[in-house]
Amino acid sequence: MRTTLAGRLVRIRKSAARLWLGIREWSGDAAYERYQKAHARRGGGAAQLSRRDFYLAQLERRYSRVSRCC
Amino acid sequence: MKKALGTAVWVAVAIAGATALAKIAVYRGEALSATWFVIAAGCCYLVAYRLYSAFLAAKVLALDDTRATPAERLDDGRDFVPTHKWVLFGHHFAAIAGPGPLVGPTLAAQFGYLPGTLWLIAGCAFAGCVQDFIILFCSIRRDGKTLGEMARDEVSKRGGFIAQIAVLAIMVILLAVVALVVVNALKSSPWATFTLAMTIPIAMLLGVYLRFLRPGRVLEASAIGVALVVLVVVAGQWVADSPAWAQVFTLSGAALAFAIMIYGFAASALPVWLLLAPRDYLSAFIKAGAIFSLAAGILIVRPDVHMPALTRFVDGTGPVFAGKVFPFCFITIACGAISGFHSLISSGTTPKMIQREGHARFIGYGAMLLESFVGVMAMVAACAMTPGVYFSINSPPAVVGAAADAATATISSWGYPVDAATMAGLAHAVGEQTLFNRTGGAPSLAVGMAQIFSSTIGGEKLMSIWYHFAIMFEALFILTVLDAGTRVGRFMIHELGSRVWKPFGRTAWTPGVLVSSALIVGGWGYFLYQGVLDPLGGINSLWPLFGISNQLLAAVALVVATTILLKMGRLRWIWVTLLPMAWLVTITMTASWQKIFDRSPRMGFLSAANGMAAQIADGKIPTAKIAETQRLIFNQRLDAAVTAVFAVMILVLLAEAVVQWTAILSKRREAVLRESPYVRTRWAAGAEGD
Repeated sequence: MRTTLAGRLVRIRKSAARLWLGIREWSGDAAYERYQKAHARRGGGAAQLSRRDFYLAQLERRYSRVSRCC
Repeated sequence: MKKALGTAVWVAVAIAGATALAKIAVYRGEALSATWFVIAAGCCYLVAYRLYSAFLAAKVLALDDTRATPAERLDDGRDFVPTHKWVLFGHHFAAIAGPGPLVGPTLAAQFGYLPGTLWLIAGCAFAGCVQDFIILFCSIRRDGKTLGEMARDEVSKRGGFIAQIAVLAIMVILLAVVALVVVNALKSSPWATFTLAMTIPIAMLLGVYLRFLRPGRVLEASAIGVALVVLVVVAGQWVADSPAWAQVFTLSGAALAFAIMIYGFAASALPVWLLLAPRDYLSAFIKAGAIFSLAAGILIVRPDVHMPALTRFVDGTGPVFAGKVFPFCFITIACGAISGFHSLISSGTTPKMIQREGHARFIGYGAMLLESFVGVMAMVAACAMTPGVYFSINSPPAVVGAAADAATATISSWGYPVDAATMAGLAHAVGEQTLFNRTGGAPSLAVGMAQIFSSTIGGEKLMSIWYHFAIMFEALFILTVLDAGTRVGRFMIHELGSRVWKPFGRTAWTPGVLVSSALIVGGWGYFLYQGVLDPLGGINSLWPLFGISNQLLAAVALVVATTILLKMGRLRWIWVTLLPMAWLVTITMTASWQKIFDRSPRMGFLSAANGMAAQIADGKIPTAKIAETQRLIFNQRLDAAVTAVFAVMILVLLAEAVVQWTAILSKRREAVLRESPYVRTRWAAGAEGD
C-alpha cells in the first residue's frame, strides 16, 4: 500500500515537473537553457551568448516578423 | 473488441453533435441553453479532427514522420528549435488567437445566433483549419518559407509581390479597426482608460526587470505584471469615483485615437525590450486566463441564449453594420472560421519549431479548432444578453438616436423590447455612465462576460470589476496586436523602401526607423481617425473592409496551397483547397461589389459619397459643416478605392494561378516543386514528443 502511495507521489511529482517545464517552454522562460543545450550539441564552435544578449537577440528576431494575429 | 468500442464512441459523439446542431437550428422558443452550443461545437470539432484532418494528413498530404523537419536539420537553438508538440500547440494558438474571433461573432450576432454559429463550425472544419494545416505543411517542406516566398516560388513572381503588398495593406486596415474597437471601448470610461493606461508603465517596469535585473526570467516578470494589472483594475474604481481623476481619464474618441497613435509610434520606434515584448508576455498570460475562465464560466453557468436564431436583420437593414446575411455574416465572422492572417503564422515561426511532420495535423488543424471554439463562446456571451440590450449597446446614435428614450423606443419598435431604466441599471452595475451606442463589439462582449463571471463568482457586487477586467483583457491584447503589427509593418516598409533607396533597408538606422514608423502609424491612424469621425460609428465601414481583406489573404493562401497540391500530383484531392478558395472568392467579390456600388448610402461607399455631394450641391449642408462633409466624402471614396484594389489583387493572383494550373494540367509546363530534399530523421519511433 505504501509502495503504491509512494509510486503515485512519484508519478504526480513527475507530471507536475513536466507541466512546469511545459509552462516554462511555452512562456519562453526556458529559452536560454534550450539555446545552451543546442550550442553544446553543435560543439560550441561559435562564442556562446550571455543570457542577457540571448534575450535581446531573441526579442529582435521575434518581433521583426508576424508573431501575433488578429 | 477495442476497435468496435472505439467506433461506438465516435458514433455516439457524432450523434450527440448532430442532435445538438439540430436543436440549435430548429428551436424557436424564448431561450435556449448554451449547453447545446458547447455540445454541438465540441462534438463537431472532435469528429472533424478525427475524420477530416486524418484524411488530409494521410491521403492529401501524406505526412511523413521519417522525414526530418527543418527544426531537426537546421537546429540552432534560436530560430529552428525542435519543440514538444503540446508546447508548440500553445505557442501557435497564442499567436493566432487575437481579438477577431471575439469581436467578429459578437457583431455577427445581429443576424441571430444561427448563421454565425453554423459558419463558425463548418467554416473552420472545411476552410480555416484546412488552410492553416496545409500552409503549415507546405512551409515545413520548404524550410519555413513565408507565404509570400511560397507564392513567388510556386505560383509566380507577380503572385509573390501581390501577397507581399496584400499583407501590408491588410495590416494597415487590421490595425485601424482593432484600434477603433479599443477607442469605442474606452470612450467616456475613466475606469477602463485608467486601467489600460496603467498597463503601459507596468509593461515598461517589466521591460527593465527583464533587461537589467533578471534577463529572460519571463515567468517571474509575468507573475509580477499580472498582480499589478489586477491591482489597477480594482484601483480604476477609485479613479472613476473621484471627480478630479475621472475628469483626467475621461477622453473623447478623437483624443483616444491620437493617444493610441502616439502609443503605436512609441512601441514601434522604442527598443523592443522596453515596451512591446513585456506587454506581449503580460497579454499572453491574461489572454490564456480569460479564455479558459470564459469557457469554464459558460460550462458552469450554462446561460440561456435569448437572441433568436434569426433576426429580421438578415435582410441587410441591421443597425450594427449594413449588409445581408450573405455575404456579410461570413465577412464579419472572419477569424473564428477562417483567417488569412493565420497563414502568416503557419508559414512563420511554427514550421521552424515543429518536431515531426505528423505534428502538423495537431498543431495546424487542432489550434484553429480551438480558435473557432473561442468564437462560439463569444457568440454565446453576446447572445446571452436580451436582444434589446445587445442592440442598445451596439447601435450607433445615427441609427437609433443619441438619447436613451429615443434609442429604446427605436429598438423596441423592431420587436426587441428594452427600456431606459434597464439600460441605466445595467450601466450602473458595470460601473459605466452609459452603455448606449458603445459600438465595436468589445463593450457588449464585456457585459456578456461580466454576467457569466459574476454568476460564477461574486454575484452583482463584482459585476463592475468583471466588466472592467474583460475590457482590460480585450484592450490589452488588442494593443499587443497593434504594437507588434506596427513594428512588423515598419519592417515591411523598410524592405519596400530599400528597393528604392538601399540605406532605408537598415532597420536600426534612426531616421529610417522614425520615417517608417510614421508612415505605418500614419496609414492605420488615418483610417482610425476616419472611423472615429464616421457618423455611423466607423465599424460599419471598417469592419467589413477588414473582413474582406482578411478573407482575401485567406484566398491568396488557398491559391498557393492549391497550386502546390497540383504540383504534388494530388489532382484527385484538389477540391479540399479549391472549394474553400472558390467560396472565399465568391463572398469577397460579392461583398466588395456591394460595399462599392450598392445604392443604399449605409451600404455602398460611392452611394454615400454621392449622396453627401448632392446634399452640398443642393445647399442642404450648413456652411460650417461643409468642410467636414467633404472630408467624409473623400473617406467614402477612399474606402471604395481600397476595396477595389483588394478585389483586383485577388483576381490578378487567381488569373496567374489559373494560367499556371492550365499549363501544368496540359503538360505544357513541368510541375516543379520547390521542396527541400528528403533527409531521414535521426529520431526513432517513440522519441521525445510522442
